[in-house]
Amino acid sequence: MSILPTSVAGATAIRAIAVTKRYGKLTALDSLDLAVPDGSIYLLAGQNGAGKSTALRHILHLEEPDAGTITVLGYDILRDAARARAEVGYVADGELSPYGWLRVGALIAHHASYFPTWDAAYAARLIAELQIDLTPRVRTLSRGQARRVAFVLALAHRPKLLLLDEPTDGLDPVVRERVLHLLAGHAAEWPTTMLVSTHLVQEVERLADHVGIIKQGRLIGQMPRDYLRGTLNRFRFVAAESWRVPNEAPVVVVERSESGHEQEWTIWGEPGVVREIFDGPDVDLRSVTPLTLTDAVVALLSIEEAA
Amino acid sequence: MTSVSFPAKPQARLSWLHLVSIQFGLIARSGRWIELIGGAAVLYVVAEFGPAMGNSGAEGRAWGQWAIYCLLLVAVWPSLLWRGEPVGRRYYHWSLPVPRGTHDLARIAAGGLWVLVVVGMLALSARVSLWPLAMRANSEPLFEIVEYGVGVLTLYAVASVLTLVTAHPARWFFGTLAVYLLLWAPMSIAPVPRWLFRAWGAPVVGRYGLFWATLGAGSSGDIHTEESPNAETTWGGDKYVVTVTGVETSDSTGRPGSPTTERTIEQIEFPAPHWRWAASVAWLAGSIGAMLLISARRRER
Repeated sequence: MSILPTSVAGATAIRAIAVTKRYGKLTALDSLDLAVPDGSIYLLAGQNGAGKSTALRHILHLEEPDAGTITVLGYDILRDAARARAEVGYVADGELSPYGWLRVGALIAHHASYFPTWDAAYAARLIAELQIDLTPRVRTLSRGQARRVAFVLALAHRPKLLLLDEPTDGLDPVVRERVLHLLAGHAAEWPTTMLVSTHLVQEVERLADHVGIIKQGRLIGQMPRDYLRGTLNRFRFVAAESWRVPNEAPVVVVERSESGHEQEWTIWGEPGVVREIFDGPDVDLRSVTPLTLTDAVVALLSIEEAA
Repeated sequence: MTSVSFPAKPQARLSWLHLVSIQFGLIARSGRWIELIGGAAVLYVVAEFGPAMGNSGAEGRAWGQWAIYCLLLVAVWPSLLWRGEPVGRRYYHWSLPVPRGTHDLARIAAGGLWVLVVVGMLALSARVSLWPLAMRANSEPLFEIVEYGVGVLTLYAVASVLTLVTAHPARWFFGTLAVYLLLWAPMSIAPVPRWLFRAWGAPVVGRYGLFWATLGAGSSGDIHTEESPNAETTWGGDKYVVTVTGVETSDSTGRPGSPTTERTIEQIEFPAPHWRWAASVAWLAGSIGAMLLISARRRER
């Protein structure tokens, strides 16, 4: 049982319940419970091989789960995947398209022919903003170029839900900034829920308002980012040798380090409860620093061992 | 190139016709049709100028051989059609707003239309005669091409089923066939029970066998020489009847008094035409049924 919150209140764009997937002896998804709030930008973080891409493929029903249910935009994905996919944009971590012999322009036109809501003017705008050359064949594109085309394919039909699998991987810094700006603009202009899966948390952290942590195919926690910001902090303090954290205190010390007399602890716990720990004559709290999302994710990935 | 022209917006619910037309166009743009049509053209040259197969000298030999060679091409066509897109690597296809099974069936249907283009090529050739196939007895060219078309589509459908379940359809198709034949050959000389031999042969040359389903369902007959024609015999566990219907005498030189050659005109009835039509229908329907079943198991609407 995780000490991190795993439930999310309110309407959800994606709700996965107890989704399990095994490949032989390998359990890729282990009773995954995922709830992506409607309208949120949800960062699904985890290490390589944690099951992020597998989770996204199951959300689109590109793979069949062994157990569990998934609802996407109100559709039972196991039964109504095609209808759901009409309202979903997907940037895959793998190849752009197996049609390597198509020219980029032809691929975009081919893709458009499947979407009644395709917005040609918006597509043209995206093509211009991302400086996409439409003439080369798809197979000749670099990873970064292919990723830019993938954004056009994913966004131009104005989906209600965007699934972005390692969206910034392979992009140079300039294009990465452009893409992040574009995603933020898209979300502002059009009501969109985004599920962003990445291990490069620092690259997308400014977008995210919800965070989920996946580890070995299991979601160990999911929460609003503000909640995370209030609950996981770095405390710098000086304490007497007799000072101890009360055993009954519902907090978890995730990391500890010492520098001379000063100690620096990363603590998970409700703000009020944590503050009580440092209320006393034996301890002098010097500073409280919120963690960056990257540091927070690293801390959360180790929190269970700490607990 | 700075702009892209988009097709007309599809309807909210994509029609089957729309999906097939997208796939047909995709095959056209892929250039894979060149492998099919070009392959058929090369095979025509082989049939025309290569060694004769079976009873040579019959009029229309090249067309008939070409038709047979094209069967092999059609058996390989599903693999060419899905090259680089094996069943485990269709994430792009399946991320589109179309049921996964429907997408794949649309591709198979579009591939079938391209097969019909080849059949059309064969039909348009001047020498419409199905000598090795239906052996040209009392059948109309149009009828022959229809039955050949049905046979070709049947073979294409059988091979296409594999593209839905395995990443190596050609390997499984020809591998299975090879193993089957390798096991069958020793049976013809080994002292195995007659029923076992017949049962083993039934899927290919039995009354509903793939051989008949593929090679057409018409009445069969041929003009060829037999020293002692059989009135009835068995082959592959099923009966065929050879009926002598006349003798054709021809003058080999055209000069008066020169020696003549006598050729027995026979009507050879392999499994009766309606049985072979039944075989075609059974295999075609079975293949389509299998494809629909596989698609239905994907449980998407």
